[in-house]
Amino acid sequence: MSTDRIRLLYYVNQFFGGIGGEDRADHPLEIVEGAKGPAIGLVRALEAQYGIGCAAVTTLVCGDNYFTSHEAEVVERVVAILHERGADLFVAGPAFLAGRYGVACATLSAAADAAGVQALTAMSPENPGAERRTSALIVATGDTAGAMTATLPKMAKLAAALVRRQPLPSALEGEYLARGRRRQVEVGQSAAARAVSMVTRLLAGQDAPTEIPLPRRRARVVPAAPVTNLASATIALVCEGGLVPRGNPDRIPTARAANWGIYSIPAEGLRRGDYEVSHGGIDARWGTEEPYRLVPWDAATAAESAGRIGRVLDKYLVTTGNGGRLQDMARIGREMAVALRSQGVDAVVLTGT
Amino acid sequence: MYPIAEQVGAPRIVAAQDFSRPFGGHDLEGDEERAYRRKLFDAALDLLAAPGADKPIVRVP
Repeated sequence: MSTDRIRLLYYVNQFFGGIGGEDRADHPLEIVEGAKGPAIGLVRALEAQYGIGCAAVTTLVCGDNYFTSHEAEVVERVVAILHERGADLFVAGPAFLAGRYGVACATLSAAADAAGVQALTAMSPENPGAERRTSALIVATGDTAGAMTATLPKMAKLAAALVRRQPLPSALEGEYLARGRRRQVEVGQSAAARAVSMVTRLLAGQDAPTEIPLPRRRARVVPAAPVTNLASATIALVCEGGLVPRGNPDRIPTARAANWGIYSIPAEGLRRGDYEVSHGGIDARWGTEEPYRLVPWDAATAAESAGRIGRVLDKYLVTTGNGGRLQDMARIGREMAVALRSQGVDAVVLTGT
Repeated sequence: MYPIAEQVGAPRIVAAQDFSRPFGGHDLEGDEERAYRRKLFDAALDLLAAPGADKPIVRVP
C-alpha cells in the first residue's frame, strides 16, 4: 500500500448519507461509489493537510434501525466488502450522541480492525457506542452535528497516523477515547519522586494528572424480587418515550432530560390528540398518533379486567430517555420509585425507547 | 433499545420491534396492533413474576 494513495471505506447512517431522517432508519445497507456526507470532508482534509489521496472511496449507507436489527449480517457484509475492495482504511461516523449510530460505528470499526484493516470512528464520550467495550479507535466529539467542523480535522489527523503506521498520541491528550492500552515511556524522574510530587499537589488542592484513571464504577443493581401475587398487584406504567400532555406542562426536554412528570390517566384512557411526544431520538409521530404505543394503558386495563393483575395505577410517570446522563436517569429512577411506593405500586412496566 | 437496557444491567427486558413505538409493532395497526400490545404486556407481566435473569431479554414473535 502506498501511503500516498489509499482505498477508503466510509460508513454513515441514513441521515448523514442523505437518505432521510428517523423515517428512513430502516434503509438497508447500501453501497455508494464515491464519498458521501462527512466522507467528503475527510477525504479533502486528508489530501490538504496530510498529502494522502484516495485512489478509491466507497461509502456505505445503512439505516440505524436496519443495523440494530441485522447486526451480525451487516458486520459480515462490511468485512466482506473491506476485503473485496482492498480497503486500507475504514472510517465510520461521526455519530456524536446518536446511540444506535454510535453502537453501529463502534461495532463495525472493531470488526474492521479485527479483520486487519486500520479503522477509526468518532462519537461523543457519552454515546452508548463508546461505553461498549470494543477495541475501536474512537475520536471524541461534541454532542451534536454542530461539532462536525471541529471533528473532521481530528479524524483526519488520526487517520493519517493510522495509514502511515505512526504511533498515536497518548489517549490522555484527549483526542480519542482511552482503550486501556499502556505504553512504557521514560520520564526524567524516578517513580518515588513523581509520587511525592503528585501527593504534594493533591494536598495543595491542585490538579494531579494520573496515567491510570480509575474506571467509573457503575453500581450493580440487584433485581427486585419477583411479584409474589400478580393477581392482587398494583402495576404502574412508566415511560421514557417523552409522552406528555399537549403543551408539555413540565417542560420535559427532547434530550438530556433531568426532570420527569407524573400525570393522571383519565378514566376513558389516553385520548389521541391530547398528548405529544417530547423526544428527539425517536420518530414522534407513532406515539402522537397512538399514545398506547408508549404508555400501554389499554393492554394494562385488559390485563386488569382479565384478573391477571389487581389494579393499574391511574397515573403514569414519564421522562425522556434521549442522551440522558446516567446519573440523572438513576436519580430520576430513584425519585420515581419513591413516588410509586407512596401510591402503593408493587411493580412497573417501563416503556423504553 | 434493548441492547442499551442490557448494557446498563436491566434484569427484565421484553424486546420491542420498533423503539419509536415499543408497544406498537413494526407496521401493525388497529386490532392486530392491539393484540400484539397485549402479548407484549403479558410477556412483561411474566417477567415481573419471575426472578431477574442472567439472559434478561425476552422476545415476543
